[in-house]
Amino acid sequence: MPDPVISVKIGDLQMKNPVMTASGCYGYGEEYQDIVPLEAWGAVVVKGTTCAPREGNPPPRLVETPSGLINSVGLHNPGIETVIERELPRLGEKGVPVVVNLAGESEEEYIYLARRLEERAEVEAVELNISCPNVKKGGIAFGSDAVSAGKLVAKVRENFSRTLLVKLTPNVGNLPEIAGAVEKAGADALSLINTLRAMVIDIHAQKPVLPAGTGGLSGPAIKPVALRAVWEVTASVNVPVVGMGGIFTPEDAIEFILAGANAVAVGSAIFVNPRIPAEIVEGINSYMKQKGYENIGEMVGAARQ
Amino acid sequence: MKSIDPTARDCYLLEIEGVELGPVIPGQFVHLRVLPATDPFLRRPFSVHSYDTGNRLLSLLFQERGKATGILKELKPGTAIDVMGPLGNGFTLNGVARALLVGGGIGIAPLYYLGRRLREAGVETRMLAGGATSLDLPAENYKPHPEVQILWSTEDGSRGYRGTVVAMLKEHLLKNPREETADMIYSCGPTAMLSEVVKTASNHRIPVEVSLEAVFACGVGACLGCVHPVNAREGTRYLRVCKEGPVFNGKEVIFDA
Ligand SMILES: Cc1cc2nc3c(=O)[nH]c(=O)nc-3n(C[C@H](O)[C@H](O)[C@H](O)COP(=O)(O)OP(=O)(O)OC[C@H]3O[C@@H](n4cnc5c(N)ncnc54)[C@H](O)[C@@H]3O)c2cc1C
Ligand SMILES: Cc1cc2nc3c(=O)[nH]c(=O)nc-3n(C[C@H](O)[C@H](O)[C@H](O)COP(=O)(O)O)c2cc1C
Ligand code: FES
Repeated sequence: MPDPVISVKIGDLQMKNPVMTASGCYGYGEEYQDIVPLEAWGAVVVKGTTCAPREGNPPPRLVETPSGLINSVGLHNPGIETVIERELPRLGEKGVPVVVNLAGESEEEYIYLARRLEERAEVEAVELNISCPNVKKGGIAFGSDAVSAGKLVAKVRENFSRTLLVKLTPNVGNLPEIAGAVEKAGADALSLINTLRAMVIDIHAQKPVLPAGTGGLSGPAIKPVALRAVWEVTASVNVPVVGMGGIFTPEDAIEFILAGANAVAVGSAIFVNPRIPAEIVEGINSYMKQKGYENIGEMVGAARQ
Repeated sequence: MKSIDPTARDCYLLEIEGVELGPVIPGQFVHLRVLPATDPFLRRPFSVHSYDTGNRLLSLLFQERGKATGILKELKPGTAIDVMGPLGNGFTLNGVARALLVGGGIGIAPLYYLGRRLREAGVETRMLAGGATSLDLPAENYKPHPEVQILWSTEDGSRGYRGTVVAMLKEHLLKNPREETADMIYSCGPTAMLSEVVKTASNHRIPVEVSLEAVFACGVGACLGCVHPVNAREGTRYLRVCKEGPVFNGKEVIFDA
């Protein structure tokens, strides 16, 4: 039997396998170079990038929880100009599609960022981050309301011609409604989910461990919630979905695909097992052979039938 | 994993064989996956306590603190441990003739490897090591190298100098002329102690390098979770302890942020 086909297309983003990095968990692809080749990924999504450089939130920024991790990094990044000058040329040479995650404080900022990247051929797609729980201004405010999310995405759509992904927050009560508005506004695909707002209290100091009080929870602990988000959204939306949140094993990735995700992204699990992309690809391959699938597309949403 | 032995109260020496690290600079760390499970979730960083390139034998000196170290101390010889490393920037070894190593508590862990390597390079090396009581310190004859002298301190006076290791350092620098003490101080220990060591070194105009701690996720610079404020040319910057560190020029580190 020939190897099953696991390449996928999200908008115009052509990936040799369905496993992407989740933004903020793989830096700019350079950090893990000596440990696992960038080429193992279907696409690389880089850190949330803003107009101006940002130093992020004061430390401590991380706290571990049972099977999870809360972070309060606060979009620490060198800013769009440095990313364009220093990171993109190097990333562009690797032959792996590059997706830039964009975070703005206002509509104007998102538009500016999209325009800057419209000029850069190395960037095959952008992922609008309207879901970061760790910054005060912008971002998640757009992602929490269907009308403003739709308006913002429509504006960015006018300014960016290549693949436009929009990353949504699960910290809302009407996720399918927001997803629908974003689809209607012209998004090519949805990324689900960003982190869940969460906290830990130090009972000795009697205060939150993170100076910001709360942060975003990721890792295996959030997988059931993420899966539910993908399940609910794919019931009503037609654009492709990139599923993420707590993927730690090949089986986790398969669950997301069966729930309706066209591709998956891995974040926190990279920190623990940098070899995870190859393992997931291998796991999907053998699962497909076992179940008699020839093309990964046949598997998408199979749990619904 | 080859062996695990208690060295002091809540402290253990862990030896792992068959670890291919290549060249290791003292002060670099390894990132351990303690169990192939999701809880504890993250890897844990430990400084290289010693590494024998030929035998590919890695030793770590660790203190039980919580979940992961509690599991680590119970591991049975023969258990496989996933080791990533060596990672981070180590101590500067070049251009030093007389070195003073100052370790507080489990902070002595990286200083042993540093002491051995400095001595092997012909550097005159002395180590000041402090703990709460003698029970918190390894055996008196446990040395990085036969020619490295260790001056011990305990807060209750049960071994060596009575007082903190910082107090001992201050006395040591006052009593001995600079030409005989050090042209470089290296330190590792609790943050409050490092802050004092840096102040003391600055008062004596001796360069100082410190190894910092932070909670790590990736350990390779990708997540930006482990930052510490540092004075840079451009002003205060949050630098990654795992990547730009864990060893920093002590005078640039901001301790009271
Ligand atoms: C570069 C580097 C080198 C290190 N080298 C050594 C070494 O050689 N030997 C050694 O014993 N330890 C070393 N450490 C510390 C070691 O990584 C931690 O003790 C270990 O991760 C604790 O894990 P745990 O699961 O047992 O404790 P946890 O359950 O994670 O924590 C127990 C308690 O300690 C607190 N805590 C945990 N980590 C930190 C931290 N970094 N700063 C402040 N509070 C914290 C937690 O909030 C919790 O209250 C090093 C750390 C770094 C960053
Ligand atoms: C340290 C850290 C930094 C992150 N930074 C970003 C970011 O800059 N932009 C973004 O859209 N998501 C960011 N995320 C969220 C992840 O991309 C992902 O949506 C989330 O962690 C869930 O996936 P996981 O459980 O596999 O980590 C970050 C997550 C972590 C843990
Ligand atoms: S631990 Fe991830 S950047 Fe340092």
